[in-house]
Amino acid sequence: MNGDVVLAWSSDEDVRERAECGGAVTSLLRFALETECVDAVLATKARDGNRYDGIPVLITDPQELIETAGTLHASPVNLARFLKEYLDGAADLRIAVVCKPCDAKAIIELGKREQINVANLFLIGLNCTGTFSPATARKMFQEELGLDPLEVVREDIEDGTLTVWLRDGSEIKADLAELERKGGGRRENCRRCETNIPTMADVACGKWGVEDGRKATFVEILSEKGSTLVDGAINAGYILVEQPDNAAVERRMAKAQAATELARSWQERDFAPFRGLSLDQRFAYWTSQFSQCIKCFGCRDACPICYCQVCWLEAERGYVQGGEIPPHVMWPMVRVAHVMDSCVNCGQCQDACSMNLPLSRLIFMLNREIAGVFKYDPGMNLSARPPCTTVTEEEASVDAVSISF
Amino acid sequence: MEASRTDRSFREEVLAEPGGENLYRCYSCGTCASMCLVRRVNPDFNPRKILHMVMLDMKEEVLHSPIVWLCSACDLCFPMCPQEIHISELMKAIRDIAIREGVEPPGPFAVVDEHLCSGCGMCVSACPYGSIELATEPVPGNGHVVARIDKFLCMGCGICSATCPSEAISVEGTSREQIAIRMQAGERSTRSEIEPKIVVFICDWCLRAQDDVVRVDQFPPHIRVVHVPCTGQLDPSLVLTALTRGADGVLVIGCRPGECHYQRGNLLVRRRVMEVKPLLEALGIGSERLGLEWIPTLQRGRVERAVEEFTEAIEQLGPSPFNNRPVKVASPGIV
Repeated sequence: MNGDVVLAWSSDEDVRERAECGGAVTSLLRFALETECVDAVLATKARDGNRYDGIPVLITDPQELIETAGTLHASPVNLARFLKEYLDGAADLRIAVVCKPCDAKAIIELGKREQINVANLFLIGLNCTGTFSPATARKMFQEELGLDPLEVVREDIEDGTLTVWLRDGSEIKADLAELERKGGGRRENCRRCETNIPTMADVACGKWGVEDGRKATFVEILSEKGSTLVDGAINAGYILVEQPDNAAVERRMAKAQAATELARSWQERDFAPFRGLSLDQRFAYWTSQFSQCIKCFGCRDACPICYCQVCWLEAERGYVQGGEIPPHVMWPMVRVAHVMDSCVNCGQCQDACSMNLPLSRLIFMLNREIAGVFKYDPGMNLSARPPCTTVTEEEASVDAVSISF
Repeated sequence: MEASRTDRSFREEVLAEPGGENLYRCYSCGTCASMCLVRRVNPDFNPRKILHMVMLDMKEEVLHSPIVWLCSACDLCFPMCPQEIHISELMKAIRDIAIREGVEPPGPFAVVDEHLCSGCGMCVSACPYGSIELATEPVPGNGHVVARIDKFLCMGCGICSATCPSEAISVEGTSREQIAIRMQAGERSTRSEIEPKIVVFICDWCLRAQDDVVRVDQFPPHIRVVHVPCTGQLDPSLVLTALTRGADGVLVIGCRPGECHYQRGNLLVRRRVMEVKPLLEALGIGSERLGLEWIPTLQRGRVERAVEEFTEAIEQLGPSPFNNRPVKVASPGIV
C-alpha cells in the first residue's frame, strides 16, 4: 500500500548472496521484467568489471540484472539525460529506472517539461549518501588508504565512515570527514545534498533502518505504482517481507536527519566564502572565473535538466558570437539563469567543466535562495510547475513588488 | 449609426451564446467604458457602445469590426458594473459567434518557431488565455511535439515568449530581438560619464493618461524608455542583456496586481524579478540595479517620480561594474 514500509529480501538465494542488502531491488526488477510490468530496466553497471567506469545499461533479459547488483559509488552516471537523449524519454517504452535521488529529481524536472514520459516509468529510488568522482576515488584509495583501486569490490558510506571491501574479503574503514578535509571523499555536490532518501520516487530502497549485519532492504512505498510493484513481487514470491518495528523506522529517520544536517552544514561551508565577499569582490571573482571558460559546452551537455532543441548559447541563435573565447559574460550568465530555478544539484556541470569552475556550487547556491523565495523544491513533485511559469490566486491581491510565498 | 435590419435575431444569438446570458441587463450607464483600459489607449473601443450595437442587432458591424477583439479580459469593469454583467465574457461570446461566421481576428498573435520549439509546455502554463496547447503528434522533420497557438484565443501579450527558455515564441511586432534593439538604440549617442544609464521597460497600459505619455517621451536621453505591450514579456536574458550592454540600472514599470491588462503579466514579471535578483547579487552586479515599480490606475504622474527615485538610487550605487570600471582580479580564497 502507498505509504507503507517493509523490510524486504530476495527469495532467491543466489541473488541474496551477490547483492549488498538482500537483493530486494534486484528481485523487484526481475519481477517487473518477467511479469512484463515493464519492457526494460535502466540501471548502472561497471563496464568490463571496472568500478570506476559505470555505464547506464538497458536490460531486457532478467538474467542480466544481477550484473547491476551493488552500488557503484565511484561512477556517478547521469541517467536522466540518458533517458531523454537515447531512450526517447520513455515515449513508448515502459522502464523501471534504478536511480539516485538526483537522477529521480532530474527525471521529474524533465517530465514536467514533456521531455520524459514519467507515466511510463517506475522510479526505483536508492538511498544515497554520496558518490565519488572516479579519479578522486582511485587517488584516495591509493594514496590515503594504501589500496590497489582495482582490488576494491564494494564501498559504503555510513555515519561519516567510508568502508571499503577488497577482493580478498578484508575491509578497511576510514573517517570520511578526514578524507574530505584532504580533498578526497565525496563529490562536492553530494556533500551538500539534503535528499538522501528519494521520497519523490515510486519506491525508496536502502539499508537505513535495517539492523547491522542483516541482509535486507528497507523499502518505503511512495506511490500507487510503487505499491503495485511491491505487492506484485510479494504475491508472486519474488521477495519476502517483514514489517519493520518502530525502532527500525526511527533508526532510519534518525540517519536521514543526521545526513540532512550534515549536508546543510556543508552548504553553509561551501556558500559562506561567496556570501562573505563584497559586491566588488564578487564581480571580480566571477569575472575572472568566467574569463577562464573555453566554451566547451560541457556544463550544458552534462546538465540533466537542459533540453532546448537549439540552445540559446549556440552561435546560430545569434546571441553569442561563434568562436569567441572566452565567451561574452552573457554566455555563463544565461546558462546559469536558465537552470537555476530547477537545479537538482547533481553536480554534473562542475564535473564536466574543463576549467574546474565552481559552477554547481554557484547554481545550487542560487537554487537554494530561489527555492526559499518560492517554496519550490526542484524534482520533488511532478505536478509543481517551475516558479516563473505560473501564479497563484492569492498573489493577485498582494500589492508589494516582492512577496513571500 | 444605422442598424442593419436584415438580421433581427443577433441579440438573441448573443443571448444564447455561453457568456452572453446577461446582455439584456445592460442599461448603458457607461461605467464599463469609464473603467476600460483598452479605451484609454484606443478610444474606438467602447464596451457600452458594442453592447448597444448588439442590442440594435447590428450583426455585420459588430462581427466584422476589429474592435471586438481588443478586450483582453482584464476584468476591471466587471466588479464596477451595477448590473453585474461580466463584459469580458460577453465579448468572448460575440467573438465566438464571429469565429463561427468565419471572421479572422486581426492579431498580432504569438508565433511559434517550430524549429526552435522543444515542446516543453512551459508556455501552456503561463498563457492567461489558454490559447496554447501542445500538438498531439510530433511535427514531421522535427521529431517532437511543438506548441500550437489558437489565434482565436491569443491576445498577443507575449507572456508565453518570456516563459519559453528556447525563445521559440514571439509576438508579431514585439519579438525579443526587437525589444533588444529598442533597448540599445541611441546607446552610443547618450553615453555620458556622469549620468547613470537607465533602461526603463514600461508597460503600454500603465500610461493611462495622455500627460503620462508625454512625460515619458520627455525623459532625458540617458533614460532609455522601452515600451512593451506587457511587462510579462520580459525575461531574465533581456534584463541581463541590458545590464551587460551599458545600463547601470533596469527599471520595470508595470500595472499594479489586479490591474494587469493581461490578467497576470505583472505577477509573472514580479516572480522573474525576484528570481533574477539573487543572481545579480551573487555575481556582484547588485540586486538593486533591477527595480520593479507598479503604477496604480489612479496615480497620475507616478511614472516620472518612480524613474527619478530609481535613478537616484542607481546614482548612489555608482556605475554598473560592466561599465568600464577597471576590474581587479581578486582571489579571495575560494576553491
